[in-house]
Amino acid sequence: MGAFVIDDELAAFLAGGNSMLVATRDATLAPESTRACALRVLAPDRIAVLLPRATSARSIANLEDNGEIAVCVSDPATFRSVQLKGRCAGIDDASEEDVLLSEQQFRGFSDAVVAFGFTPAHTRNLWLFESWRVEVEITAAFTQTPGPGAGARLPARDAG
Amino acid sequence: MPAERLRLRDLERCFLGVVPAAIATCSPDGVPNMTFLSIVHLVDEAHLALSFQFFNKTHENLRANPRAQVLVPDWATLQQYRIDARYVRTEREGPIFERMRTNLDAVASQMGLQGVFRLQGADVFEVLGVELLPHDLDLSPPEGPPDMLAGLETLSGRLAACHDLEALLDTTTAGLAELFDYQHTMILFVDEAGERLYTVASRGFAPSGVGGEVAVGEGLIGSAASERRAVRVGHMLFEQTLGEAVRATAREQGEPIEAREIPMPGLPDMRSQIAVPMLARERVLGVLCVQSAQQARFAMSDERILGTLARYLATAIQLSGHEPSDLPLPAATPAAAPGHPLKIRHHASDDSVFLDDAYLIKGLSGRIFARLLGVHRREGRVDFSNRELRLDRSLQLSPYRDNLETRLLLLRRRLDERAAGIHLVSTARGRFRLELERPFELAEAD
Repeated sequence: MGAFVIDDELAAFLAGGNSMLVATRDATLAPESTRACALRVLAPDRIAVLLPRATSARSIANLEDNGEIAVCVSDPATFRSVQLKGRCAGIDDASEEDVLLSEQQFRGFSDAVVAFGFTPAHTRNLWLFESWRVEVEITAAFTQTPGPGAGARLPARDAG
Repeated sequence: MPAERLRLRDLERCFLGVVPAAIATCSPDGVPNMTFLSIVHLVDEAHLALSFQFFNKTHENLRANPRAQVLVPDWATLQQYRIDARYVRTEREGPIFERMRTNLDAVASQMGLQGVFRLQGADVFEVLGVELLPHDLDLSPPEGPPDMLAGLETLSGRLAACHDLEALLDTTTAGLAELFDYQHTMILFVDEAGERLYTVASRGFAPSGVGGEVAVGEGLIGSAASERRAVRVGHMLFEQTLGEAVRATAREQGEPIEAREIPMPGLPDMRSQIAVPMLARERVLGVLCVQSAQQARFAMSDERILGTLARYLATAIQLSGHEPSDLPLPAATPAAAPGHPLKIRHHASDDSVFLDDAYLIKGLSGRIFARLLGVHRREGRVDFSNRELRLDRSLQLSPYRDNLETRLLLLRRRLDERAAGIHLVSTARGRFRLELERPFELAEAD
């Protein structure tokens, strides 16, 4: 089976204003969760996520230890959700461009959850802008939209 | 705040189902997994229960590696907490499971998703630690609720002074608004067949909804009656969005789905609702339902207060309605009112009654109304007693004394709402008068 390929439709979904959660694990297989504050599609099999420095120290340590990562992305307006699994391909400081993207995706998320009664001022508490940038090589993807199909693997396609 | 000082009960706002929680697990071969959760239930100071519906990978991971981490936001401030936990067991029966199932089934029923959106099990976790995550803003949470124990004491005192059903119901709805700031309340009673709930009293709704019905066992209100448990929803819009997502994925999977979503009585912009059964002597008399346009309006403390009050009210209703026995009814007949006659049609098949061709009421209330009008036409009498109705076998009353009272009250309120010039007015305990502001013509139909 080839590596998982992010097609244009999925890339557009991933770049929207979503809720983004990241799981890693330590050497004892204890999981660690954190909220990501931006996601950028870099290539059909590669993304970058921004992990806030204030909340992600253990996640970063886990990634340096073993590289295993899962990223769950969910549209707050429809609950369409996708989980990407992969390996860490590099950790760096977030760039200015990354922070701009984070602000843009915060606005998208914040606009979507106004309908649920959350003001942007409150939603802002979920977002932290000083971040690490973690590149992830995607190996598999799963649909996670609530319902009987949750957990099904999205089909892998050969690149090109 | 140091992690060891955080207690689970301080996080109650995280467990109201307003903002989705998430759970991270890890497979035995070291692959982490992250999914959203619909229900996180606080079991006790050291345990949580999570709903297990569709999230199969999470469940599979937990059976092999019990370590988990749950990420929960406080809906009021959106501060996040990380909860380290260890999976202990999955319960498929018992109080924790039943409590979560009742709520989930009620929501599924409301959405027309019975069978698809179904609790498979309640995964019980031991909590190892709680950590408040850093955040940029310091948002103060909303003001706390009023002193609910004091409110309960005051209201139970007022109810103890009530002599009849109407006073009990009106005192309850007024007291809930004044003492607890519950502005939108309805009280429904189970019908004679035990199949439907009909609204007898309401406050804070326009139109009042009196006479409105829901089926026992259906939706958020009907489930509270059939399951004899409180049903609480913290965020109706969230549940509806979740329901739409589940409906769409179920259709993709080729599962048959009922398309029908049950119309929700009450506030058009309802966000929160709590429905508690009115239980007395093992019998469900009805349901007390409170709604709010605010999200997460009702917490566990509201559920406890309203559950206590509903049981008190049910007992008080059962004890009320003792009528003075054999005082003679006045036979004097007031002069017939002048005016254009009101056309009243009674259908014997379902006892539905129409005033000038507009529906008024059906069932036992309609039967009682037709009987009163028939007696008036034959004897000219306008004064009646509950006792004479109770002794009339043709009315086919249920053995429960309160059933006649609720049906009479419903009839009175529907007549008052219609303002068609015909009313029932209470004259003494267990006595009432048919007041006619205009003449009527009664027609019997099939």
